[in-house]
Amino acid sequence: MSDSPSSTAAVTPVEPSLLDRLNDFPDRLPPMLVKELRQGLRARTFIAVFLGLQLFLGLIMLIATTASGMNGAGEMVSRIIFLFFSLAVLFVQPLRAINALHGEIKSTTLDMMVLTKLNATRIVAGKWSAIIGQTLLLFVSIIPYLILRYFFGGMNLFAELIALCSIFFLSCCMTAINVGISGNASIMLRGLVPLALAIGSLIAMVGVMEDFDGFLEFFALDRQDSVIAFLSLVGAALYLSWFIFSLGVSTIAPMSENHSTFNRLLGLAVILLAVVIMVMKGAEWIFIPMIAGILAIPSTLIALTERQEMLPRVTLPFTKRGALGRLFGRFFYPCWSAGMLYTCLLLAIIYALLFYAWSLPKRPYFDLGIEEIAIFNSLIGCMLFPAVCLLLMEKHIVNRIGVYIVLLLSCFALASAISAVAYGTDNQQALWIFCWLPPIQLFMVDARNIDEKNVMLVAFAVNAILIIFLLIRAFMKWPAIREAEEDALLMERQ
Amino acid sequence: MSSHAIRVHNLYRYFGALKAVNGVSFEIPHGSVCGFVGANGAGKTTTMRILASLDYPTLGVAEVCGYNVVSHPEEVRRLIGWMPDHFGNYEHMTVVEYLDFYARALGYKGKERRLRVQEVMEFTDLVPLAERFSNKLSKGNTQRLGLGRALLQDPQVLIMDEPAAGLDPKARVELKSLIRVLAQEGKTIFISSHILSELGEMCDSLLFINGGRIVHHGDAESMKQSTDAAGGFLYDVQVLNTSDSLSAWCLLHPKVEFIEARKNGGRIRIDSGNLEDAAEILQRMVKDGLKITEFHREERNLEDAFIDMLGKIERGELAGQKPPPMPDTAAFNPPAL
Repeated sequence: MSDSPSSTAAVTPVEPSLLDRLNDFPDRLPPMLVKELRQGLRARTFIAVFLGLQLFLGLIMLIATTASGMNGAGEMVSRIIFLFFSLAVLFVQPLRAINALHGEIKSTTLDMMVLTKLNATRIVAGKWSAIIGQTLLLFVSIIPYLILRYFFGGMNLFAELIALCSIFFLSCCMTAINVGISGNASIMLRGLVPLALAIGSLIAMVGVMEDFDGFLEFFALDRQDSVIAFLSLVGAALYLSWFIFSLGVSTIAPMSENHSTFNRLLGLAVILLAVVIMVMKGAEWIFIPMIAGILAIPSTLIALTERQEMLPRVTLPFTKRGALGRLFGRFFYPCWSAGMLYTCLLLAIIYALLFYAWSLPKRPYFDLGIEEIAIFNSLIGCMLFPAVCLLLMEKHIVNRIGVYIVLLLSCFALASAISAVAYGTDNQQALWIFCWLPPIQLFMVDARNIDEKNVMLVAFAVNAILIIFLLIRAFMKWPAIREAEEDALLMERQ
Repeated sequence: MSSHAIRVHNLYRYFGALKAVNGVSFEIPHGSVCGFVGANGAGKTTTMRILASLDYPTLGVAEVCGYNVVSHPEEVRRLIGWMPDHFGNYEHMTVVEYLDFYARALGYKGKERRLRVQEVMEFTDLVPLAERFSNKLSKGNTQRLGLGRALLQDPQVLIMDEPAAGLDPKARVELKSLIRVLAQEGKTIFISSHILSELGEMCDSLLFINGGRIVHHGDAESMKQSTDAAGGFLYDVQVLNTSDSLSAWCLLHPKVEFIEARKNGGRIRIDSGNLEDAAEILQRMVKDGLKITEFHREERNLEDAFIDMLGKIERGELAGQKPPPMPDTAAFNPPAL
């Protein structure tokens, strides 16, 4: 490139010291992380939280040292460290992700990033990892206080460390969820989810402070059931946060990137794992179909709300593998109609699992009866019903997942209102009029004078109708899929 | 290497019922500067975004240096520098850090990265602003930063959407000189602007788009001439009477159109290229009692040509490229990125 053409002055050379400063972060670090750290470490929120936490904990330590002779001083210090660390990393830090992706979308900086070598995953991961990097800094900064607290005695070092690590892990998951949701166009969704998480974590903190001993006892992990519970919670948090994180990735990704197939495979793998566990454990783990149903929610919810349009480029990896690849694509293409077939596949597995579990001998502590199956059916209907509504108003919707969630919540609100009237007037039979609305079936199960078996059958019938409708609409999209596949083959030949 | 830096063939982009781009075709040779002209909403930005691989066509072909923007977006992105009309900058990030981030994102490492940042900063004269926060820059400096970012990977093709919008005259002159140097370096520049006189000076060719269709493609002179031939000539007439008397006189004469009032006169169009006709009209004016102090033919500029062209399109006198019939779009109508 030639010299500056500026007409006003001669070229001002760059000082070497200025360029040396660009080595503050090594090339090994991802560019997004470098950018976010440069920005984040200068952000007032982080500086205030960091300094505030240090000052406060320092003060508490000073006070505790003067009162070190008192009974329970050590435990009090632990409580305070946990409370303020939790506030910082579970409340403040995840909330910082609230505008992470939407800010980029709004300021059109995302376009410019797309033109570099950064893909959507690297952009979202950079946003997440920068906040986590700062959270880690907060975590490391409280370690000296933990060491000091050790000298007050009465400390279960292992349990407290595991508890602190778990809080940090939870912060990572909450941040991932908030970053993922921050790309959604709906301000309601972007605001409500992080707020609900923040309020939930505040309530949990109050609960922990009330039973701090019980909390630490759980994290001592000295019983098999607490280890299983701990690992299950970790797995569930990872699973859920991954899906919401990847939702953020899909939101900002160009149409030429496929982020759906992996997630659908992950969802299928988890369900198949549930099948294996069910077969191995049998009646001991009769609740597995319910768990499988819950685990299927994230992947099916995303699959049912994806857009239909697909670039031929996306179908190319499937079409290259011939007829089998195309068949596989019918379930795993990143589009709504393939998502519907995928949902049917998962439902078939889950129903098979459910009937297998039903056929097993009854257990005294958890009986899988008609009521449970009716509720289960109704919940599946709750998932499918908004998808049908979404299709009926398809042409007007851009933010499909946002509208889906609003529809889902509206259905529940409507069902609650109708049920409140029916129960209030002691006219529960009137609920039959609205039995086509899946959430109503949940209230019907509890109603007097309504046979659970009938509710179960109605739920089956409603689900069958919903599935048939969705499948017909999905099959209607196949010509467009075929066209994209043929274009992909043409592209490959060229 | 493809013979054209940019090739667009029967390009369509529909947003629902809105036909943003409606069967556009054009080619831009390597190393040329092409101006993209059109009213707001004519389809300039959509076409440019498709060329920058930031949007997808509903149908048609868009290629940069032979690479299709849909099937080979990565290759296209390596070849282009994109400068949008508006872009946000980051909080708490200095100018030098901003460029460093994009240099890292483009895959530059170590010494090479620092060298690229240095070269771009010196070229765009951003060195004195190096430590200023990027979101606190003036509009002109922000555009220079945007240009610097677009130049980081030394692109073959530079696509600039309204780079001079909102700039003061000094900043415009600076930007123009930067673009001129880039053109001398042999880069292909595809630039849209509302400041047509500047485009005329800079560009080897001009593309005029309206309603999603190309209505003219040629150099600035051909654009002026093509409208002259059909639109007549403009004359500046100064009178001792009021401009109302001139306008009233024009109403009575079908070959003469009163265009705009000016101090002590006005601007008129005579629907004839023949100088004798003009002389005759002048004679009649004098004969009818208009006290003419000045009567001279105006050099047409691009703004005039642009306005004329819009007028002709409104009157249905200029159809431009006729797009081929659009096939069924139900199969693929992608949303914007």
